Order: sequence, then C-alpha cells, then structure tokens
Amino acid sequence: MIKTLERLEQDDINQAPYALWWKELRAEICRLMRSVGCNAVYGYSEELSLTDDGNIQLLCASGTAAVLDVDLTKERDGEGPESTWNAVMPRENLRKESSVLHYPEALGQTPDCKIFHIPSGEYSDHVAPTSAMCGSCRIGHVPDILLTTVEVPDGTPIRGTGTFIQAKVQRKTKALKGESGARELSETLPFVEFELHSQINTKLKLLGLNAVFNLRVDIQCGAETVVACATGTGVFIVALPKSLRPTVSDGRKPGLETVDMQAKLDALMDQQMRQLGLGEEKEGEVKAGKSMRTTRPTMVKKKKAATGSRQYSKSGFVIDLEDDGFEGQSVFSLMDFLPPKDTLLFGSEICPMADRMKSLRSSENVAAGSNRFPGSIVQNICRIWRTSLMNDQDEMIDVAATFRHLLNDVVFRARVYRPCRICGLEFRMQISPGDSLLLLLQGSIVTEPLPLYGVLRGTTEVRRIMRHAGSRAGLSGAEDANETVPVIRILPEDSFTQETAPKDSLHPKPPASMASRCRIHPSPRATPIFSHLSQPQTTQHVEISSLSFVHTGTVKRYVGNLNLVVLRECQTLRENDGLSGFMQRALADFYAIVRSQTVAAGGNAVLSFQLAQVQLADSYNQAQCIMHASGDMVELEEAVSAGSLES
Amino acid sequence: MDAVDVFIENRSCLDMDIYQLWLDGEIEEICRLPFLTVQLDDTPSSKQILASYVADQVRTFHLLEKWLHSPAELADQPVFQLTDSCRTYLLEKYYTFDRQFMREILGRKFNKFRRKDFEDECRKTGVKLDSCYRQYENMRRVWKSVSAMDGCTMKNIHETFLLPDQLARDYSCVLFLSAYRMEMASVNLTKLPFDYFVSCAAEMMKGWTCTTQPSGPKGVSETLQANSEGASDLRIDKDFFYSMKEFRFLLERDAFESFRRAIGRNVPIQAALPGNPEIFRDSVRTMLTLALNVHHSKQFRLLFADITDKLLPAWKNAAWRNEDAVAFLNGFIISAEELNEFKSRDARLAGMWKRFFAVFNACVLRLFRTDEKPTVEFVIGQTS
Repeated sequence: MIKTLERLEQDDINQAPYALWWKELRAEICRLMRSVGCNAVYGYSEELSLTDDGNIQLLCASGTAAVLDVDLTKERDGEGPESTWNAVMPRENLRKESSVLHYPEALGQTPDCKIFHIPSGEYSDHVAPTSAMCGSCRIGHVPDILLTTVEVPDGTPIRGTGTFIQAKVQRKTKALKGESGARELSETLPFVEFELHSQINTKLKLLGLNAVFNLRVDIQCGAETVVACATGTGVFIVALPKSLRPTVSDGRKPGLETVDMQAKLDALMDQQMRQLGLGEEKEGEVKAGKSMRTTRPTMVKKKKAATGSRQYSKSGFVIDLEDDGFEGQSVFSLMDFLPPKDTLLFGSEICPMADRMKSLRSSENVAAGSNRFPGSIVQNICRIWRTSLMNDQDEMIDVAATFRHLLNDVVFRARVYRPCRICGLEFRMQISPGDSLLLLLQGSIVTEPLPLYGVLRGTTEVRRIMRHAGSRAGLSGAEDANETVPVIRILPEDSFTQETAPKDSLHPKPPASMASRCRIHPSPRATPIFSHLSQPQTTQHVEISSLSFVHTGTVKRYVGNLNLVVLRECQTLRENDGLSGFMQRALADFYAIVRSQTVAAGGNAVLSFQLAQVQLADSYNQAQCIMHASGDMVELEEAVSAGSLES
Repeated sequence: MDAVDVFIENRSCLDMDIYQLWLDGEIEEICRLPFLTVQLDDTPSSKQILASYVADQVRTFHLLEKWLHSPAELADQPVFQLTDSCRTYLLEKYYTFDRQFMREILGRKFNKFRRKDFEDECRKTGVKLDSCYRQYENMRRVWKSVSAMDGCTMKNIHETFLLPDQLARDYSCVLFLSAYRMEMASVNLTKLPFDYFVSCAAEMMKGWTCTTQPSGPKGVSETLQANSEGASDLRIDKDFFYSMKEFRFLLERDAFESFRRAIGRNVPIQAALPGNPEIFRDSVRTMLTLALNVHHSKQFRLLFADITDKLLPAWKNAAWRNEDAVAFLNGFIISAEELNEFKSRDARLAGMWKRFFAVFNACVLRLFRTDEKPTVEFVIGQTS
C-alpha cells in the first residue's frame, strides 16, 4: 500500500493535489481491504516522506483490515496475512488503563480465538497460501502468521512473553531525481517491502513466534538511498499454529557443517524461546495441534545459491541464502536482538507479558497489602543519533548494525531501572542532504515492581510457566514455605542478589536497591545515586510518557493538547561541545518547555508524547534544528494504590 | 559531517561515579573507563556505548554547572528534573574541597586567579588543575556572597549554598582566616594540617568576633553588646582587642612576679613539670605580650606564627606532655584573677581576661598537640 507520486517542477507547492493523492491512496486501501474479505480498516495511519530536493514524495498508508460485526459491538472475525498489512479487530475498545495485557486466564474468560480466523467467503483465494486449523477451537481456519498495526487486544490467547521485532532494509539506488527517479523508486519499493516481510517472517520463526502487533513501517529515501525499517511486537498466539523450526539442509549433500549449524541454530533458538517463556509445552497447555506438525516446513539453506529469493512450496518455504562468506553468519545475523533478562523490549504500548503482580495478588489474597509495592516509574527516553550513510569508499554502511547498537545502548541505559520493560519503542528515520541518517529512538522505560523472572511463592501457575528461570530459586522457595507470615516473598534467581541480600531483603525492593544490584556502584558513598528516581521532590514533577495511558494513578482530566514547534539555532558550536552538545542542550530545553507548558496549563503529565520530527542542519560552526512534539497534557491523580485499581 | 549522539530523559539520571571523576578533573580516567568495565553479565556493552554514555553524563554536568554556582536557582531550574536528595548530593559534592589543597591556599586573598596559577599547588597536592581551580572558585564565590552578610557565617553559607553544616563550618573558618590574611607560610606552620587551623578559627570566631555573646554574669563592655546586633562573625571585635591593653599592668615588675607565683601555686603538678623556671617565666611573658599587641592587625596576622615560633619551641624542648600544657594554661587563667592588682581594677577585666585566653589557650593547645590522638578537650569554663 505504498504509492509513489512525483511532482515535477511544480511552480507552486500549494497547488499540488495532495488531497487527491491521499484520496486515491485511501481508495486503494479500501480496495485491498475488500479483496481480503474485510469490511473495516483499523490502526490506520498515513505517512509522508520527501526526498532531498522535495520533488518526489512518498505517501504511505497502512492499517489492519478487519471484519466488523454488523452491530458494531462484537467483532466476528478478521484476518488477512501476507498480501496486505493485515487484519484483526479488537473486541472492544482497548483497555488502556492497564499496560499489561490481560491474559484470558486472568480475565476468567475463555480464550477468544475468533478474531484470528480467516474470513470465510468468496475472497478466500486472496488470503494466505498456507493456513491451518485454529489451535484453540479446532473449527476455524487461521493463517500461519499474522501482521497487524493495532495494539494487542485484551483477551488474546497468548503464551509466553512478547518481544521486540525489527527488520531493516537498505538499498542503494540511482539518483532519485525527477521522473526517472520516481520510477526508480517505485521499482525499488516492492523489493524493499518484500525484504522487510521476509525478514520479519524469518525472525518470527527463529523466535518461535507467530504474530506481530503494532507493526510500523518507516520508509525514507535520500538522494541515492532507500532505508526502510519495520518494528513491532512479536508474540505467540495460541490459536495460530506453532511456528516451525527451521532446519538446515544443504542442497547437495548432508555434511558435518550442516549438522553443526543445525545444532548451533537449535541451541540458540532454545535459549531464546526459553527466555520468552515458550519452552516446550507442559501438560495442561493447549496443544497447538499435533496434526500441524506433520507438515513440517523446512528452511533449506543452500550454499552459494544464487539470490535471496523465496518461494512457497507445499511443504513449507525455502529460503535461499547467499552464503559464501562466513559459516552461519547469514542466519545468525537474522537473529534478532534479544534483551537481557530483567529488561523487556516491546514495540507496542501494551506489553504482552504476564502480570506477575496480579497473579501474585490473586493467589495470595493480599490486595490490601499491595501498597507495599513500590509504584512503577515511567521514564521517557529519547535517543538521537546521526551518522553518515556512506563510508569513505562511498558504500552504504550497515544500517542494521546501527539499529542494533542503539537498542543495546538503550538497554544499557535502562540497567538502573531493572527489572523493567521498555515499551512503545519507536524508531524514526530522517535522511538529510548528504545522505546522513538521523535516527530518533523514543520509548518509555517502565520499572517493574517485581523481578521478571524467578519464582513467586504460592503462585503455582506462574511458577510453572517460569520454572525454567527459577530452578535455583525454587530450592530456597521450598525453605521459605514453612513460614506462616502472609508475606509475599520474591526469590530472585540471580545468585549475586542472593549473596548480597540476606533473607530480609527478599522483600520487594524499591528501585534504589535494584539499582545497587547493578554492580557499577558498589561503593557505599554512592548511596543516593539512583535512588532519587523514586523519591519525592519538592518542586513540581511533570511526567512525560510516550504511552497513551498512565501506570500509577488515573487521569483526572485532560487539560489540553500540546503541539510545540521549536526552532533553535547556534552560532558557536565549538564552545558548546560540538553538535552533540548543541542537540543535548536544545532537547533538554525543549523538554523543559514541554514541562513548563504543562504546568502552566494546570496539568502534571504529558501522555502520548511524541517527538514527531527533529531536523538538524549544520555547517562549520553553526547549526539549526527544528523540533516538533505533540502530546496530551493531563492532570493525574496520584496515589491510587494498585490495590484499588485491582478492584 | 559530525556524528550526533544524544540521549535525553525526562527524569535526570545522573551517574555519581562519573560526577565524582568529573569533579576531580580526572578526564583521562573518565575516558579510560576502567570503572565501568564491571558490568552486569548480560548487559550489552561496548566501548562505543560506554563512551557515549560518559559523554552524555559529562555534557549534562557541564549544563548543570551554572546552576551549581547559584544553588538557590538549582531548585527552580526547569531543565533537569532532580529530586531533593539528588540536588543536595550534587551540591555537597561540588563544594567539597580537598583539605590538603585548601591548606595550601589558606590565608590567601581571594583575587582572580587563572587556571594555570594553580600549577604549584597542583604539583604539591596531586589534585588536578581543573579541580584546584574549581575549589578555589567555589571558595571565592562563597566569599563574595557571604562576606557582606551579617550574623553567623556558617548559617549564611548553609542557607545560601544549601551545604551541610560541617562543610559550611569549614568554609566559614577558611573565610575567616583568609579575611585576616593569617600568616600560614612560616616554617613551623607548614607541617600543620588544615583541620588544626579550622578548629582554631572556629574558636576565634566563637570568642573574639562581633557576634560573641557576653558570657558570664560579670558583664562585658557596652560596645560589645551594641556590636553583637547585626555583626558578622567574620569581623574581629576590635574594641575588645584594644581594651586588652589594660592588662599592661601585669607586665610591671611586681605584678608580674606575683602573677608568676600565683601560677606556680595553681598548677597542681608544677613540681612534675619538666624544665626550669625560665621556661615558665618566658612563657607567661610571651603570652602576655601577644595578648597586649593583638590589636595591631599585623600582629594578629602573625598570631599563629608567633605561637609556634616563640611559645611552643621551649615547651617542646622541655618535652612537655599535653597534660602539662593543659595544666599550665588553666593555671594561667585562674591565677590572674587571684591577684590583688587584678581585683582592685575594673570588674569587667575578669570577663575580658577569660574571653581572650579561653580562645587563645585553645589555639595554643591545638597547635601544640602535634602528635595526636584527640585527647581531652580543653574546657576552660569547667576548670575555673
């Protein structure tokens, strides 16, 4: 659903038929929606990107096609994989008061699998080439992979924890100028899209997941480059078939190398899946259907195969990887970055993860005492990174490495908040003249009051799911079991926590002590270091969150819309620590303005805060930048205990 | 094309280890990052990540620095959201000084110095040049804003710069010593550490300055009472020093002899005191001379030097112990009051005598006790 429109030497920019173009695009979307048998598009968004000189515009629209029930209160089903950015419709409005997905078991509902079924009817020939029986109800048909632009709907039957999925593609093209440039671009785009899809597909397979929510695609073109990036949250939906393990095989002869590589791949996958809570199924779990295992798709890895192409075959699919370089490099480079324990990454606002606090409370009936848990902290982060796309030899640098580096960096910065999750991760790209790539990474770090892994005493269900992680802690849990005090004990699995923490400190600790676990600050003089994050302050604190909901407290009222554009200029770059110093100063001030404006409007928090655009131009000793941000200014009512939220 | 690498957070999250290194001027140390290499096992880290992390932190500190210079504004600044404890910590660390370095510049006038003017001190103390400069500038800043204020300097510093009491006290003492440009460079003084002078200065500020409250029922001069309103404890009570001249009669031959004998009676362990009567006599004479001349500002400047040069060598030669010194100094104060010459004069003399020598003796003792575990505090009020 991407359309390239070009505008050649238009005298007046304002006369360009933008409205017409968008209309055309929307019509196209509608057509596609109907072609997959749906009657609505959800999670729809439009984006525009310009090339260098601004005479080629790239208009993108994406959404999720869905089937709405006629009475508009309950959805019947939705769907459509591959061919479009697809389909699914939430049963009701998303419950955004909670950032954690409610698992169906927790809601006391039977998992609703209907929304994942392929719409039946005359259009079924358009939909997925492969489909299977629904894993929950065994009645409907489901696609084997689902890509959607919406948040994870409540009650989705999900197992394990979701994770951040990202695909990046870069292409060097001929100079994108004039009409020929536009044609060049439109010829390139399908391949870029295809590559994105296949990357996502492979990554899902490697992680053992089968759906992506909140998929966002950003395509930017420079003078001679196209860079595309897709991000989302990958999850495992029980209704959808289990993704099948890729197997390594050599087209010609089975050899030791193949076996070796297969072993390596398996080990890596096992480890990743274990971390996501997708270990081998236990009894009592819904079987994903034995029947489906019979058709086992294989990922065939041909050495020195011709090109990176992929075709469907009856037995599954084949990925030909050009692999004349280092052994196994290609496959492993597709392995997505999996964050360390105690830090979870999500592309979506709603995090598909078990609400441990809730399961803890419901199992122990200690809702009254829940105030002992420290509230979570939301930390808005914004990372700006600019680098040249071309290296000295005029070749494109590896963008994927840059993305990975940035993710690593954010995880590193978030270490003081551990255990935490980073949600709403969003990458925005901007290609500026001279083919430099400006990356804007935004997200919110939300601290978790409880360790993400390890055993919670008395929560059998959680323990079963988390057993893989807490084997050592399980022992000490048994020792503790004879205590009669109705106190929640959290047994961290990390051995170093145990050795530093005597029995008493097994209680949930405020983030301060969690910070001290980061052995970076072992010295006692460093006591107040990061503890200030949870402490009150006398001056008014303004919370900024990129999420559209709050974690602690409730919204009392909305006080206004925030829309702020700031242009900042600097004539003395060198005295200001260079470009980075200038940007840091500019952004810090920008945040300060946002906060002040919020306070002036009578609010104390900004929700849905998005730094929509940052543009930076510099030459010699001066620089200019434009920053644009939007959000909702709200007044929060703090001190609503987690316990009352519960009820 | 310059690379841009910036990280912004809503809540400012400052790494105090890097802050400390930054304050110490250990730029190379920061760049080498040995302290960051100890990481959580599963935290991804690379040189690049660490470098950008450190660069961010250092830039943040640079931005914060201007508010650290005027702490009152630090609380109101909107750019960084800091909590109270974090602010306090930042300030405290920023204004903490190296005692060895401060000893070097003690008694110096607060002129404008350039960074490279501190190269000597830097070499001598091992404190980095940047750090020296910062510490000196801190002191100068405190001096500028506090010196014109009235009342207790320590309290003023505490309120203006939001520093903890102990640090504020140290600052006020340094300011006091520098205000009178006390001579600190004499040979015998160089070996003495910073803390000795701080406690001497504290005693002086307590006893000799305009804020000193009249103690005891015997009454103090009217002028003193008038002065005690709205006076700074950075200013010496000049009138009091002038009036010390009234004790000149003690140097007259008869009075001096009887005074000396009285001391002899009052020092209980006099027999055990090593040394000969000459030491005894000379000491008394020196102390009286110092007290009478203290109103000359030049003499006052040299007070520490005079004590260590004229008074203490004889005691040390005679191998006096601390108890000996305490006994002698106590006896010195008590004995004067027993003299007929003393009693026959103005009643307020006794008050002045006590006021002066309580402080003076404390200083002498402080400078005398060079060995040192801290021994019994010298408390004049109880012994008399």
